[in-house]
Amino acid sequence: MNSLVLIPGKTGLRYSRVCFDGAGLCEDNPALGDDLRGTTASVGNVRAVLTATGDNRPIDVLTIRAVFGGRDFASPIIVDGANQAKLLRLGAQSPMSVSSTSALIVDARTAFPKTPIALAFETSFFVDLPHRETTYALPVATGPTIRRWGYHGLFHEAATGQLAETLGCKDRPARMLSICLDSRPEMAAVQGRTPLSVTSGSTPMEGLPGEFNCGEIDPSIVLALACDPTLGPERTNLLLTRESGFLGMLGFPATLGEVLTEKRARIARVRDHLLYHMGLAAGSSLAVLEGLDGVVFSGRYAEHGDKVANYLLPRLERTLDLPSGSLPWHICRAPLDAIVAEAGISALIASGGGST
Amino acid sequence: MRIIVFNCGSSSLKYRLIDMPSETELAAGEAERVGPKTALPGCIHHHVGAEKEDLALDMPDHGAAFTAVMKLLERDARLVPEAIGHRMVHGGAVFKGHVIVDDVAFRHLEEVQDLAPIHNPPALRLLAACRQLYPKLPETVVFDTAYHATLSPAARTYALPADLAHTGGYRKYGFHGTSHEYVAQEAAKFLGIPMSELRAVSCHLGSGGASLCAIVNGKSVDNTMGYSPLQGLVMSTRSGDLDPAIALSMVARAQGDSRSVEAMLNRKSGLLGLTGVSADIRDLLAGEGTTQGEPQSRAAQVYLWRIRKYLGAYLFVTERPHCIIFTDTIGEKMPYVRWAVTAGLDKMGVVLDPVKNAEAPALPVDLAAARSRVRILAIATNEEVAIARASHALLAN
Repeated sequence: MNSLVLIPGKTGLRYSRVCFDGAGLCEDNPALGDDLRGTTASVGNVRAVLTATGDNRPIDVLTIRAVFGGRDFASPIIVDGANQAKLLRLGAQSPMSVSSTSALIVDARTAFPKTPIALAFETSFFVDLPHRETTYALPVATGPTIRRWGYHGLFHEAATGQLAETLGCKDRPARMLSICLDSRPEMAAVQGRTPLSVTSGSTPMEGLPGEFNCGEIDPSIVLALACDPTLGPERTNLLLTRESGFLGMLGFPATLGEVLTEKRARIARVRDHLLYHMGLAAGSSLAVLEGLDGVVFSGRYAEHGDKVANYLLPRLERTLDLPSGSLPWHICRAPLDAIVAEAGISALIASGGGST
Repeated sequence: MRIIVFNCGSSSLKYRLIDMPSETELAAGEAERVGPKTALPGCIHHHVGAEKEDLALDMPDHGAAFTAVMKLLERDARLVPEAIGHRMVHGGAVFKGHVIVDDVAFRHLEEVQDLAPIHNPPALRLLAACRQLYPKLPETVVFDTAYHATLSPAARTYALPADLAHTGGYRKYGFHGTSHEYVAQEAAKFLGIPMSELRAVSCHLGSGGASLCAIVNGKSVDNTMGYSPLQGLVMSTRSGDLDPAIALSMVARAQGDSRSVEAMLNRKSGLLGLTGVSADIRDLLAGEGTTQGEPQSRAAQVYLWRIRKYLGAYLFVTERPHCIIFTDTIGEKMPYVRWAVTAGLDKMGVVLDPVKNAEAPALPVDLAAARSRVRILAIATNEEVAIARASHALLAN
């Protein structure tokens, strides 16, 4: 089976066709992923590109990566009228993500009117996070929809699935630290298939610092900035999401990959900062999991997991009284496109579909 | 020299009249449950030597508590203070160390009072009242932020634009430093380790505010509070950690009124916000035993979970610490809290002895099981002696 994967971003639309056979990703899979940017970023143009390159194979399911699915979407779905309406009702909780996903559904239906459309949500993996982890200590009247989520659930689920298989814990669920190395890095403590904690918050702004986002800061700073007459709430939001993180600390943009690998002193200071905060999150995960069986890296910069492992693993082993070099760690190299495609195909099969 | 030390907590006022340098206590007490109404009425526990008395009364603010305490002291002419030492939570960037109060210092203190909106204003009002009532007495201010001057750049820096962070003074300061330093010194003495070698996680769990401190070689390397005392653990009326986007959306909903949001996050959130009934964890855990199961109260679960996560983080940062220290009202008196936040951490070398923990013998005490690599200490904090020491040193110079 195969899926055309659509991953909307801030500046464009990434697409790829992913084929699976019974054993997993097909070996003759075409190169994964390409991007359409600006005004060309439409599903109609994706179809045009496929046609122009002579790729006229039927598509079993078109899968859209959706960031936010709230409590209603605990697994990937095939879009129908009912759940499309349900999605729209989530707009107040995550306006940007929901409007982007909804627009892409309409666009995809126009370009591929006969192809089933699936949605794979980043938040699904975290729907059942424990109440004590999701709850902010705010007045009850603030509302039940304000809660903690994770925003790299697709990576975490795939990565911890791989690690659990490697670890082969038989008598109890594996206790895993999952580290997603992406432009907004995220860490989750996972027991078996159940996440117990995650660094992101109600939005991806909270947690570890990223390429542009501030990560965790004192709420008093947010209030001080928001009441500064030269800033105000909207400008503060831009400042904390687009001008902070590595960019803010360095004064020039740097990817997570560069921060983890470059030797320049200024970048090294940012790396020290990031690794220190990853260490805090790792320590929290130990307390949450009551131990640790292994660590797994995923995400766009997963190949640099060794740089993080060099810092974290010896400290984790000392904290846990483990012999040096004994804590297993693993790099999950599955690209997001393939993970999203697999989710879409599984939703299609679960819905009783399977061919177009 | 008789120094009366005032320590304004967010919901308490501790005081102690201390003869220095002998550190002999002449009178002492604590006004409890000052501020928001809780299940029990406010009370002043006052004692002079072995004579103790409890005075039940409502104390809506720290000014009322101070007035009542002064009336108690003025009954005995031998208890007239010769100097006053104040604990001040936040010194900001203006105060690099402790100070003797004069008009200039007072003006600067007014400038930094908003950095700790729960603590600094009542402490400043208390200081002003003291200046009015005892104009000839020297007064000192000892800052909670001073012990955390040793935080590493990685721990103290927020990932904000560097110039904005510099000009706004937006960095982690850390709080409860006077208490963390005092109990760390006491722990080092108790364990027979030089302070300069002590590795510890100090858990200052007050009935109002609370913070954890990671200590390496006797120095603070991290603290759960940040730029202000709002960040970190869930507290009685403070939210603790919060997604910046939530704070921004609250400001937007309040039509730009940041002050009202600040008041909500500092005074109406935390345990009070979650329960709508009580700001005191003791009320929420009243029906629990000492070592069993999860608490019934969902707010208590959130409170304990946050402590547990930070405890894990700081056990990692301190790398095989000598001890965990529990102190202040909740840390010293609530065995259930100590159990709940350390249970299941045996892989990290932390094993509580449930019998010792439940019996809660006289402090200081080691509550760890024999096989625990990390000792688990309950130590009574004494910020007043620490403040008296610092005040006496300043005034002697």
